[in-house]
Amino acid sequence: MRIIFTIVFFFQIFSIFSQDKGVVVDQESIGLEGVTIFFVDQNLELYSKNDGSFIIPKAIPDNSLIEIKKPGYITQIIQFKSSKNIEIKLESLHVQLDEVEIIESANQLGNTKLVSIEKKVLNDLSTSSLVENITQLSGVNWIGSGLGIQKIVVRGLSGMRVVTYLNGMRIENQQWANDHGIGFTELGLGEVELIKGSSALKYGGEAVGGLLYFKDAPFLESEKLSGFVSTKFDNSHFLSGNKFGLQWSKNNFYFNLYGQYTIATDYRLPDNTYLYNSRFRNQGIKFSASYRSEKTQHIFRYQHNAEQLGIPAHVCDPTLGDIDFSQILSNDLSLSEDYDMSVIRPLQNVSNHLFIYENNYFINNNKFSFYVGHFINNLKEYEKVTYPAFDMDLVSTQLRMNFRKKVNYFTINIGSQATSNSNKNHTVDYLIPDGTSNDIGLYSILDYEKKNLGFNVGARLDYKEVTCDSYNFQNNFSSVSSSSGLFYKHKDHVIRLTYSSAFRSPHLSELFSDGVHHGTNRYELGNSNLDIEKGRQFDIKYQWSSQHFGVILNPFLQNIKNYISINPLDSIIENNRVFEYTQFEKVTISGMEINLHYHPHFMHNLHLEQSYSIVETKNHDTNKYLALTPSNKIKTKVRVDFKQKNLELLKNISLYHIYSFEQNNVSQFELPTDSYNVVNIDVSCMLFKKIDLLIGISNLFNEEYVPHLSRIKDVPGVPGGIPNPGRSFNINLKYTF
Amino acid sequence: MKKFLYLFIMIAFLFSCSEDDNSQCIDCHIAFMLDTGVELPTDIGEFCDDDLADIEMNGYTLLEDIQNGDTTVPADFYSADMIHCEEHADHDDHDH
Repeated sequence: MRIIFTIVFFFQIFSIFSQDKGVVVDQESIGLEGVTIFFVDQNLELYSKNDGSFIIPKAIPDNSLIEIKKPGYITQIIQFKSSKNIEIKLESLHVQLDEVEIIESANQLGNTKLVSIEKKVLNDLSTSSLVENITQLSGVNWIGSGLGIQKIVVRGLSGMRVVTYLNGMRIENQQWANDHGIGFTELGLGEVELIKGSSALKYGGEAVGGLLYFKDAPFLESEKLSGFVSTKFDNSHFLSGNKFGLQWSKNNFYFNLYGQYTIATDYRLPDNTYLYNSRFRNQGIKFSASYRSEKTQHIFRYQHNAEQLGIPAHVCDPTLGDIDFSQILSNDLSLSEDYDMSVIRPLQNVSNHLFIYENNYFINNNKFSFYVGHFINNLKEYEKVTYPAFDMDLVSTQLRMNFRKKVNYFTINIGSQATSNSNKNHTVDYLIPDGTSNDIGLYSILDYEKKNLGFNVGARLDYKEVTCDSYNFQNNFSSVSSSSGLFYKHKDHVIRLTYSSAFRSPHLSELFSDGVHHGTNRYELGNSNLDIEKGRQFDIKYQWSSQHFGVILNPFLQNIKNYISINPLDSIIENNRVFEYTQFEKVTISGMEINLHYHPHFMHNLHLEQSYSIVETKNHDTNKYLALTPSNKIKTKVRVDFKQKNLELLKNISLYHIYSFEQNNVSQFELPTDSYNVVNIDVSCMLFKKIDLLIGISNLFNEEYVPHLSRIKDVPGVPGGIPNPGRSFNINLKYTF
Repeated sequence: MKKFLYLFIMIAFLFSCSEDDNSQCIDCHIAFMLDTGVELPTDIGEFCDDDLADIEMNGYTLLEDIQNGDTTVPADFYSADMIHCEEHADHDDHDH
């Protein structure tokens, strides 16, 4: 026994002394506590101790990228060299231009300096929803109704044109319709990266409008079990949400587990009535496990998300006339009944299962990544209580490989991606027929970056085959996408130019829809003659910042050929107006995003951030605007940070204001919407060093407003549409251990 | 052991939030369309489980006329499209 103890003790001591160490200091060489040391290639993070020191985990291969970041300091990325103590000096950062700045940061989607990538940190503790958080970025909006159904719109484009990835797997969840939400929640997520427009070469040519890449929070290097329990209440929906998370690691094995349960009733309008059937319920569980050695890393992830979503503003017998207001609004709320989803209709029942296996292999300056993902999406739409009108399974399997090689100032990425999608109905009536689509893509991207200059060029070839036996249809779509970027920095001025092209082949829903879409009260007809939609985008980003003021100007222009759209026809089937998919020869989307950040010298903890987003669309075929073009907006955020000392309670107070201009640029069958102001306020505190408390008031002045992208703005008989929720307060508590 | 206890508590919490599918009985109505194009909901009583599924799937035969205000809803067969059992936005019977 003594011998065994001696051997174990020897190896323990040996392993401690064999580990590399590092220290993070500020400009005055004082150790910085709580700095995030993120091992990018290993998706692993740890935090520096009180004296700024940290121990580098075992088996980190040479040349791995490490990102060192702390709010208020300039982020640094270094390459790891073993047997060498790391000392990092972080410089103070006064002006941080939100998440849109051209800076050095580690990204999944590419080099921020060369590609239009924006990032948003996601947190389990937030007063707003996942989608609302992301829409704080300029040029990003959401379409939906209440907190239940929400999806992201990037520079006026959404649905099939904005591709969503979750931990490397493309999410296919019938995203063609505006009443189908994003399909997962913020549970366990750490960050989202966004590419606006068609620059997402590495992750598919189909992202004509943009690409969202959601990443789970990294694994934590800590043998002590860490985690949190959090709860949230929001009185606009009487929403109650509870979450937990656990993180643990030992001997290069890592494990994360998260769970969530949320219920919400119908939301309250500013006039204190309730939008009937805007209630929802959500359950989620996810876990990920990783094992790594010096050369390789295996990651397995599983996620299940189940949602029940009421579809508001419907009556039991849809007629083409005006809707009686009393049929879609309630005067009061009964908490004993209004969480119940069993007898409300229409109802969506969504169940998503996502399996991902990821393998990374490191050798010298090279990294080989391999992904296999399998996604099962089941969507049921109920009109009746006892059986669904639709019951569809969409099964998607994806394989992806990427090889990254660094040679001096060059980085080369070569890869391929293959996807198989299968849509199957389990009901006699259906909107979209059974069908399959298989595609394969090959790409190559070259980045060059040296000091103040960089460029990037890339090309991608995609081939897609769509088969639908019911219509005896088999067609192939192929096209080449490309992207190029140039970056130059001179003193405090930074400029980046990008040009990119992408294509999107028509989706099964666009080709073969033939039935009533209960979520939209429309009879939808596909068009099997649709061809590939092609987008080309120019994007210029100019940035200047001094110690206390920063500005970003970001004009863009996108031309889309053969734009696929759904348009109303002058006919009625099964008591619903008929809409048919069609194609416009040329559509232009242009605009400008401006970001300002002011940080006064006399008050370093005060931050004033403002963004302007201007979007203009034009359909050259009709000489009119595109439907659902977002209104121009000014978003302002004022935040005061309070330095934290041992017993201090207050962390920060922030005030967020949106001014939305009126939208008169409407399509042929669309109504204009009015301007509005919405103010939200958040107060963040820390109790007993362990409990985060976040209290917020949304729509502080109880403004009655209908966003131009609201799903329920054109309800017959409701002039001006149904407003968004009125004033509400929310409270969030998170206990971390 | 403590770690497994944490895990057990968390997972038990999550599964305790799951909903049981119990037997359900619901009041249904015929969406009787008046000549004016206005719908006149006419109650036909409460239906449970298999009977509920049957009426929603196959429709309902009304054996006797029903007097609904000034309108007589005639005894007839009413197809599934005209039968509605889902809840509506009227909450007048709620306790406040």
